[in-house]
Amino acid sequence: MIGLREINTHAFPVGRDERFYFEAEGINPAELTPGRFARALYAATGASGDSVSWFAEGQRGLFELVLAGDAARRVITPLTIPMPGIGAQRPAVVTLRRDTDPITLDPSAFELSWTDDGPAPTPGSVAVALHALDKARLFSDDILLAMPAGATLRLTLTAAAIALGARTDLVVAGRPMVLARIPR
Amino acid sequence: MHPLATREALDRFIAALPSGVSRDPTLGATATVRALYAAAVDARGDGGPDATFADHNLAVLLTNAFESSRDLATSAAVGELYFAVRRRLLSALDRDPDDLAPAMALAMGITGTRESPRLRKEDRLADDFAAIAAALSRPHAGPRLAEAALSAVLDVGRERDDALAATTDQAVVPVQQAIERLSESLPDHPDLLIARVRLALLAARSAKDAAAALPSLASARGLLDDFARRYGLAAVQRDLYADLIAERTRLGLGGADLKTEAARVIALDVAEEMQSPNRTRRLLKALRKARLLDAAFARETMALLHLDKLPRDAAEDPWDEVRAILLDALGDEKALLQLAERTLAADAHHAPSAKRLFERWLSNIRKGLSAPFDSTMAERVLRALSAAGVARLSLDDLQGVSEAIVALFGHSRAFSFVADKVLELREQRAREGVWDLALALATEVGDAAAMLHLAGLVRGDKASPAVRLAAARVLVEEGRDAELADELLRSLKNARGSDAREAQALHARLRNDPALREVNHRTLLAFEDKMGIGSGKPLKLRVIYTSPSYALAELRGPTAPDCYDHKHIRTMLRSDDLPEGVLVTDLKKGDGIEAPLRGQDATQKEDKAGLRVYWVSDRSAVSISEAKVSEAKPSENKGREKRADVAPTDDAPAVDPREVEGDFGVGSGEPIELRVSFDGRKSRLRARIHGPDQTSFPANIRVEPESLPEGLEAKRLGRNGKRCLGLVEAVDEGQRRLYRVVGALTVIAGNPRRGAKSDAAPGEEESPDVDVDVDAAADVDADAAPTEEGTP
Repeated sequence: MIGLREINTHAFPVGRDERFYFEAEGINPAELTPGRFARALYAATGASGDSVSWFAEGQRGLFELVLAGDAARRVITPLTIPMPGIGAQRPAVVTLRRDTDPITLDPSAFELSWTDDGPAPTPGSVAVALHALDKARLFSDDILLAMPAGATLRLTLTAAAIALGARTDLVVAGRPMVLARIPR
Repeated sequence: MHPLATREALDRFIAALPSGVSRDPTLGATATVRALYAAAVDARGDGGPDATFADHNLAVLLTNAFESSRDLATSAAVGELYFAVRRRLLSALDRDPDDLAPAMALAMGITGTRESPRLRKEDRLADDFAAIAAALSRPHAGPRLAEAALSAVLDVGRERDDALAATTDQAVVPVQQAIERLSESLPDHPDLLIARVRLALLAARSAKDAAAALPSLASARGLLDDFARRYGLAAVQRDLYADLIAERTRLGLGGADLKTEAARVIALDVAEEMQSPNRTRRLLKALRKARLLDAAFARETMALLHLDKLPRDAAEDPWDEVRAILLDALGDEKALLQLAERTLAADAHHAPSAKRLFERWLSNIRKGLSAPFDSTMAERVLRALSAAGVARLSLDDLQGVSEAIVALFGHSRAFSFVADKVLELREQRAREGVWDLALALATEVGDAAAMLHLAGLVRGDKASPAVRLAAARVLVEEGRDAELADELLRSLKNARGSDAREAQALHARLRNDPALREVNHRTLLAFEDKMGIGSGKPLKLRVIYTSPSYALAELRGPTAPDCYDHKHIRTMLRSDDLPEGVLVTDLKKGDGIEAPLRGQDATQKEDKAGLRVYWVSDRSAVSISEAKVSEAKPSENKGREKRADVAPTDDAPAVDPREVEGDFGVGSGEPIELRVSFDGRKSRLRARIHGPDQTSFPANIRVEPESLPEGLEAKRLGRNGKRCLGLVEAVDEGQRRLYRVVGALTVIAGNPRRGAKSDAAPGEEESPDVDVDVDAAADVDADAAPTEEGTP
């Protein structure tokens, strides 16, 4: 007699595995081990370490990884993940993308860089510096997202910042810095 | 607020977002912000660089989400996130005052959640506005933040709440200053121009009178015209024109130009194919209020908006209200009725249309005419009619309507209309005539179900006695809801007349209802438990009735449940229940007693229909306290003070007379001083022995008339009595010890009051001479044995 056997669907991954890639920014690739990445991914998305089924450095500094189906579903891309413990005192980030993500060129994407060893300036101090640059056009609400990445601060500015050139010198909290438009 | 809590709030936000929204570029940053907080939690740091950037990005995320949320589910999720991280935004502003993104998010949040009661309940609005105002005072605050702050102030200020109005009144000042400061440096900024118009309109609304509002209105008008010249009139600016017209109408500043301006706005709407029913309705209502909406204007507007023909499909049209205003202005009653009928057919709950049709029907009823529509529409009207539609109906109108309904549908429908629609309203429930109408209809229906339905409505209301009796009758006869029937009959059975007799008869039937007895029994047990009856704890009682053989006392404190026959729990006191030596005749109405009580199930034979009877459970725990002086009459107070000697107080425990017989000379064979008085009410003599130190012998002494000196009539002794000398002896009768005067008494000469003052030390004689209210001391009958004549 053949009896019915209950299938525990929770024992199997739900959905299909997905391939992601990211570019390490401001990080020495040697420091970026699968374990460190898995820890950062867990902190960011709650995906367990065993969901990373493939992790390899590909061409042109791109890293490739494959996440198990249930973990992959939790990742909303593009996802910028802070990588604590990497990059000495400066915060390092990686931006996780899918192959299927549209490639967009965001005219509002800027990068603020500095040469000294100091920490990333706060969004407030950047806002003050921008307003000092053009008191008629630039205000605090023109700064949208701000994300420290290595020795740079990636900024998303409003359309008002369109007047800014490709490269602008800024003095932020007494420190000389360069604000540059970046393709994203 | 810890980053962990913020991270979890973001988790909930991501989970609450509708499927697919997570790919939205606006909300796509959510995961990144969540990752930043996760990193901050991982680093176990709060306020470090990660949290600072996370806070900024969270504020930007919220601002964008409020600006772009395009469906209800997303808006609700964004609102929830805002309430969850509101404190985080405030603390972020504290940490980095130069970063104004959190202030922007707070302002957007106030506007985005203005409908939510949580915004007001949490009482943090004042803090939020203070933080926004502080942010606006920074030199790099921009027009976007100022506009968001102004919207927040205006949106909250629209609420009819005094506390909110006070909060926004304070908040508007820094917003206004920021807008003026920015306008100086950016005079051509279109957003700032609009903000100044809105501020001017706000100032006009806050003005004391029309004259004070004129400058603000002129300013608003000038700024709007200036804007129109430079940038044209978009929908937002046309809304502001509508606001301006409405404000002028409200202030009574209407003029012919209002009509021209309204026509211009409507024409612009039509020209740009951006007609808005809301805006048009506001314009037309303003004109109607200013009495500028005439038939010609209405006809032109109808033609312009193509509203002269009703849409073919039956679905509700957003323009119906505009159409109704215009038809009203045209005086086209027939078209109005057609419109209302059409709207009600499309939307069965459309109360305004039902109200319009009902008013027309009522008008016909008053004229003695039939309904202006068929019975199907009449039924729709009756169903959709709102509470407001019937709240102010007079009794005559109600009777007319019910007759009309009877003619169309019969008594049953008329009864259900009155019972379900009219008696739902507090205003109508307070009128006896409406209840009588309902009773008459229910009687006509002739159905027990209708009467039962009516009975269910009567609870707790002031229906007429006839309705209450009828409701109780049907409940008793049908054996339904005995508790309600009991409640209905309670006030009726104490009245007089035939209704009262029937109520008493019904109540008698009801009391035998086992279910009701059970419910009442449980209620009484619960009350006993609450009061401590049966616990052995002494309870405060007050004597309310005295007789020679027993006294009644009631429990002080909360009133007894309604099912108990008296307002307070009562107990019967006999001498056996009182401390040794204290007789029931020593008690007087108003005396306070502390005694433990026990409850006992009443027996049908002895206690009639009672449920529980109460007795003193422990005689040794009984103490008799002074009567409340404030409750006694002035003439009685003095006696009460004296009676402290007779009856032991809480402080002085009961004294056994046997122990002090020798102290007072009782049974010594020597004549002792007595105060002999006559109780006129009971026509008997009594005596008390007073000691030298304001004490009294703790028992009464019986005096036979034969003991009085010859020539002294008992009645002449009065209540205060006379001082006499006589022998007192003790006699044992069974377990009781009685005291009586033996032989003849001798009256002590002299006025006792004056004599006391001259002979004795101050205070010593005061007590026996002044106000020896022997009458108050007790209804003395030392040898009267208590009998159980009844139950308390």
